[in-house]
Amino acid sequence: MSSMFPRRVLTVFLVSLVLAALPSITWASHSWGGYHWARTSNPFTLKLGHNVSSAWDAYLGDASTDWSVSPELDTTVVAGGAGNVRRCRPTGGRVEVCSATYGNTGWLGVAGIWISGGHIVQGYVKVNDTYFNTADYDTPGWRHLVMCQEVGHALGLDHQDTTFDNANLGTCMDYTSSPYGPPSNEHPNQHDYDQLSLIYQHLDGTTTVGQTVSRAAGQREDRSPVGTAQWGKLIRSTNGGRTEVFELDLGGGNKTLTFVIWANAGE
Amino acid sequence: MHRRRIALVGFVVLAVGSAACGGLSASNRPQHATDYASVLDHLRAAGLSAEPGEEVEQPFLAVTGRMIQVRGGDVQVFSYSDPAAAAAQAARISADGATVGTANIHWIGPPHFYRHGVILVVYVGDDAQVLRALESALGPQFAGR
Repeated sequence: MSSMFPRRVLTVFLVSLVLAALPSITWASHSWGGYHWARTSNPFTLKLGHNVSSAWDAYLGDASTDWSVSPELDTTVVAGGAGNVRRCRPTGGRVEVCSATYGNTGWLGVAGIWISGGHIVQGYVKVNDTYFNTADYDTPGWRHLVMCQEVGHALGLDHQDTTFDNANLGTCMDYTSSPYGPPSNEHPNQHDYDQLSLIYQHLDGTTTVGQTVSRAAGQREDRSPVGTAQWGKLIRSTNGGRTEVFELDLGGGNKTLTFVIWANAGE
Repeated sequence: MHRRRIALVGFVVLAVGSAACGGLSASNRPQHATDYASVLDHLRAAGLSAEPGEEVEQPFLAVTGRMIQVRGGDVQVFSYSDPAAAAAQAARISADGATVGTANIHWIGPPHFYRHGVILVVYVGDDAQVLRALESALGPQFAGR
């Protein structure tokens, strides 16, 4: 009987510890596949290349300010290096942010990242003026929401929610039909900062921030995140998409085959 | 002798039944769309006013597609070199359609992805008639909301 008492005390103590830890565990749960920028110290500064029209200036600036509230990182807007905004060529070690009329693609914004060894090495954000030039979307609410969300993806965050018509969560990482809410989905919320803290609480032995991406066989700096357009047609995929073969027809019976082994998320 | 006859009859009935089933399913099975034109045909056969649209390039898909304009929205049709290539592309699309490989997409509405053979179709919207017609043409969606 006397031995039961310490066990009970221990149980209560452990349960208390779990309950105390719960808020941080349950709040933050929207890491995008464990993708993150490698860096050797915090806070780190990520450059956002400015390749957007003047209509986006304020929103890119606001997104940069919003995400810099995170204790782990700062973002800063720098001159763009993407070249043709339709293509939005990425630059190693940073995120190029582009705006253009990309057509009726069905998306307002898209963020693409390149991964090496589980680390983000470069990324792009595209916002689609085909829609933002219309009265429905040419509003501060929609522009804030989409710019904030796409930059958030480039930091390693996924959506908190992808249902359009439920109540807003008060974060730009939440799909909505009404950016203003209430609550407003135009900016990050504490959950996002908590998730960033979890993602970046560890340090890496190297850094991918601000680093030029080294070229390897079959790789080009201007490739798309699915490595496809310049490599031609995808002709084979194995291991659940981990290994792929692309075929580029050069004409005259000549073809280039590109073999790709995709890095695992979270490595 | 009696037992052997029963066994033989049983075999014949089974064989005929099997052939009949095969024949019925073959003749009644809805033909799925196999290319852009047949997707267009299926939509029209469903009573929808569908018109050929422009080309569409998605930064996260390997090939250029072409749109079909229907009921105020766009159905995007992408044709791959062979079914394996289409399947490989489809394998990179998340169940909710929000990510394709390492691209994260803010869709303008709920996305729906279908695949049959070499065809991969994207429809962003929630028009019930369009969704029914696409399911009839291509089978149930494999990703989306």
